[in-house]
Parts: sequence; structure tokens; C-alpha cells
Amino acid sequence: MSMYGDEAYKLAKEAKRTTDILPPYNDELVRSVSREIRALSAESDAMLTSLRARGATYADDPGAACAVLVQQLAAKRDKRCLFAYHRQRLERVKELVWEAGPAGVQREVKRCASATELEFFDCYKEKVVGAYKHLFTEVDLLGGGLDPPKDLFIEVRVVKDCGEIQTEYGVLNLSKGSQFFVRRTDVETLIKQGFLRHVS
Amino acid sequence: MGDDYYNIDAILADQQKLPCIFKCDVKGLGYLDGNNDVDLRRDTKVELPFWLVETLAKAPDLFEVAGLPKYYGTRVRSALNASPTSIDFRSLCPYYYMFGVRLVTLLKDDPLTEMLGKAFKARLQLIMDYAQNGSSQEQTEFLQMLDETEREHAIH
Repeated sequence: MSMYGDEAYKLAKEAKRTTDILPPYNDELVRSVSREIRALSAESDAMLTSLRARGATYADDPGAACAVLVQQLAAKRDKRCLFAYHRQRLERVKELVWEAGPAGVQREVKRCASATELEFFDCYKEKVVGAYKHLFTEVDLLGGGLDPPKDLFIEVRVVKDCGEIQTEYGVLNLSKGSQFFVRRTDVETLIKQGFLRHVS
Repeated sequence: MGDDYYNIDAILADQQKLPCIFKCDVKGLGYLDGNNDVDLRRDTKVELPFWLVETLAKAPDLFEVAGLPKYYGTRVRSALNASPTSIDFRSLCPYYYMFGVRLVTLLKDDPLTEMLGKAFKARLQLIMDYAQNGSSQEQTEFLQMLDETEREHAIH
């Protein structure tokens, strides 16, 4: 027996399952819930019109009144589930803006977010940088994440060839697949750009 | 509702179903009792989710709640009174308290209110014990029987 609101319930359950990750946007389910809302609204409209055409009110036809009420409640419920689903995702997207390593994060966001969420991600990032940049001129706000680094030196693996770089301690030849133990500050930008990966 | 509007747990808790009766024929709801009729005949018992019941119950001349789900019935109640710590809420209803609170607000079932409170207190002791120093076999089994509200307490 399928019932109004069942699809929306699935959406809520999905949100519950994935509280701390950003799962791929469930376009299909969102669409089907929206469709249900539209269908419900059309049904109530039709029922109201026929009621009015007969010159009757709800008091004359309690059956119709109940039906319309059920449809309205179902539509409200569907909306509530939709809102909650999207809100949880947005909160997660906001967290991702603040989290470390934009290269990796951006990959995750791009893979899982809907087009609108992606737009939100970019706008939010811009706003954060715009709002705080002049206050903390020395801090790279969204560069390294909010957790303080644990060590001065880190282990990195080269993901893409990027030739030789000069550091205080000499020359590093970064060819793909090799691994180095280097000063964090020397390679931070390269990690961000996706050439290196931090291995712990 | 208020603050709970976006709360996923509250949404899920409101999905629990209750047996109900409409006191008039309702157009287009025939599919609810598995009949092929288009309309739902009056006085047919159907299971409706709480988010419908909550509002419909405000019209007592059209609609009536016809009992409680089994897991709030006499059997579970006496079991819960006898030994609150050995009831498996997870398989009964993962939102036992949250839904229970919603129910008693609607139906004014004082014995149920009292029972929920007692059970929660009794189980909370074990939960705190687990949170502070738990990993024994027995405790892990108990952890499987918690409802969502209790899990929050146990894990965080």
C-alpha cells in the first residue's frame, strides 16, 4: 500500500542515514516528491471547484472536506521533508567551505552537489573571504582548514608531475609516484592545487 | 513543532502509524484499506501516519483515533513495568520516546506518560554506565536495544 508522503519519507530516511557526509544529490526522489505536491494541489483544486459548482460548502459534504484536508496535510508534509533534506545538505556544504584542502573538498562537492548547491558553495566562499579578509590579513582563511597543523614536516606523495622546486633545504624533484618528507609551508600551495597529496 | 520543523528525527518519528476511523465517506482515499473502491467507506479502520492524525483528530465529529500501536499496548506496558532494561526499543519502534511524547500530548494518556518517564530513568542508568566505561558483551547487546533518543545520550 503506497500512501501520500511515502516518497518524502524515503528522502528523510536518506538524510538520516547520511548525517555527516554529503551524499550525491537525489534528484530523482526530489523530483518525484515535487511532482506529488503538484498532483495533490491539482486534486484539491479540482475538488474545490466541483464543490463550488454545486454551490455546496464543506459543511454540506464532510467527505470532501476530509479529503481536501488530507491532501493539504500531505502536501505540507512533503514540503517539510524536502526543506529538511535540503537544509541538512546546505549545512554540510557550509562546513565543507571551512574544511581543509580545497582541492579535495572541491572534488567532493562537485561530485555530489546539485547545480544550485555548487553555486551556493562558491557564493558562500566568496562571502566568507570578503567578510573576514581585511580582519585577518596574514591568515589564509580557507587555505588550510581550521585545524592547526600538528607538525612542521609532513609526508606527501606526488599525484601529478610538477618538475623541480626550490626549497630552503635544497632542490626537490617532484615526479609522479614519489614520496617526500618535507616542510609543510614549502608544499602547501602544491597540495591545494592538487599536485601533491598529504599522506599521514 | 516550532524548532523541530527541520529536525530529521522529528520528521521520522511523525511517520509512525495509528489505527483510525473516519466517521464519513472520504472521497478518493479508498486505496488506504486496500479495497478497490475509490472512496473510503465510513467506519473503516485504517492505519494513518501521525502527521495526518495530529490535525485530523481536532475534528472529533469526523475522525477518531481507534487505539494505540501495539508497542504501546498492555503487553509491552506490563513488560516495561516489570523490567524496563530488557525491552528492545529498536525493533519495537526506534522513536519510542519521541513518538510517545507526541502521542500523549494528543491523547492525554497519563499512565503512558508516567511509564515512559519511568522507563527512561531506569534505562538511563545503564546508558550512563555504558558511556563512562562500557564495552562488555552485555552492554553491547543493550546498546542494540536503545531507541534513537537514548542512542544520542549513549554515543555523545
